[in-house]
Amino acid sequence: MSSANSGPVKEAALSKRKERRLIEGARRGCEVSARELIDAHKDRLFAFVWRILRDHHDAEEVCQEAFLRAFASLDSFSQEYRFSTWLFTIAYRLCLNLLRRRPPLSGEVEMSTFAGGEQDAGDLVANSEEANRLKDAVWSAVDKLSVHQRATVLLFYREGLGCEEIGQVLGMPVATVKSHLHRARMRLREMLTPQLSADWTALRFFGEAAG
Amino acid sequence: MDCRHAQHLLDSYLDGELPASLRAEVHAHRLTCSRCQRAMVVVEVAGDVIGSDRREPAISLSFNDRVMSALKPQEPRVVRIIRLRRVAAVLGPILSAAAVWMFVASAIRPIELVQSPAGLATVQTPEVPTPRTAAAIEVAQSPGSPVTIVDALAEGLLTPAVTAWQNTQQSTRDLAALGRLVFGTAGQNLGNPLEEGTDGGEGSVLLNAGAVLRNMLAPKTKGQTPDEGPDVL
Repeated sequence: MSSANSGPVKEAALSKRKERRLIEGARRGCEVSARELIDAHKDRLFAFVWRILRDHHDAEEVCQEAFLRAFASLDSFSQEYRFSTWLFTIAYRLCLNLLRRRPPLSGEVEMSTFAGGEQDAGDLVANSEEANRLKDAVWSAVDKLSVHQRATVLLFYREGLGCEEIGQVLGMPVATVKSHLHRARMRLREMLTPQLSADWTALRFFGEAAG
Repeated sequence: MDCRHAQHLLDSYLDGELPASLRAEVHAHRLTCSRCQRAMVVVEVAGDVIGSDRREPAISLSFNDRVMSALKPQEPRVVRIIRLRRVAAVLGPILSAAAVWMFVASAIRPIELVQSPAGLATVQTPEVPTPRTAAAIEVAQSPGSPVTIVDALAEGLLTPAVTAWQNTQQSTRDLAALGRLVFGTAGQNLGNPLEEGTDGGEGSVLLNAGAVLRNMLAPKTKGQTPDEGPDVL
């Protein structure tokens, strides 16, 4: 995957060769290969979809349907794409369909109060009260972005995709992706600057890490 | 570099697309301008949180099983139905020929006409009294089960028909005459099976066996096609 900005993705990505072997196996009806493909992608896919939809049940339904459709179209799957790109593309379209049928997000959304994976020293500091407040503020602002802006920042920062690959997933040209990304940053800055200037301690910590 | 210029370059800077020299200039401006520094840090913090915060619910443990079971069940059933239809298509002409032989052979040897409770004509050959023969003919008049028809015909009908043909030379002439009778009379009777003619003897044999022939030879009519059998999708 090309990336201008690499998010700290902890899961090891499948090598292209291994992915091709698994796809071939799944195409021939090998259950083991299909399960391995699911395992390699389900957590990242679910996280992306859940951040878009903010509902556990809906997110699982979309992920399941995305895998089924991806497996159903394996015969016409072009090897020039990563399987994850194809999977995310299908999932995103399903999210849009579902959101169209849903009323707009109310104030009641599922909050990020779940424990993450393994914790290192950085995580211990980052899980302080200030840091958690900061994270909640950021996610709350992300929730207020449009769905295209939200998807763009998730794919850019979380999945570490470049703008071209984001364009494939979202089905839009690179210029449009950049427009969404830049607009999202501006909106996040507008929403977060007043909130965070009161919490400068946490910001300084992150500022040092980022600078 | 002034604030306006730095803000203008912010997105390219954050996208990592600035050439090294411009990047250095933005860095230098940040160190001296707290307003631009704060604006950039806010966005960088947001990006960092989005990229690294993994506090989301876990997907269900049963997810893989649900996907796999949704992938599996349809195919075997579809394959089975396709195979049944292919069997029926291939054996259709054979069934027709076998039915004719059955009829012809029964004209050479004594036959018993048995009226089943349902009013259907069944034909039994005394030498090979296979209940399956009768059952097969009844089944032939009811929907579905092309496989059962094939089995029964092979056992109960083809064997006596072939035996009869082989046994006698006289039967050749009789068969030819009978054939004319079969195709002439049975053809007329194909459209009017059991309703007409109970004149007894050979006539009734023809009429009643004609009913059986009609159902075997005629193109599949409503209610009697494999499509409407028990295994339909």
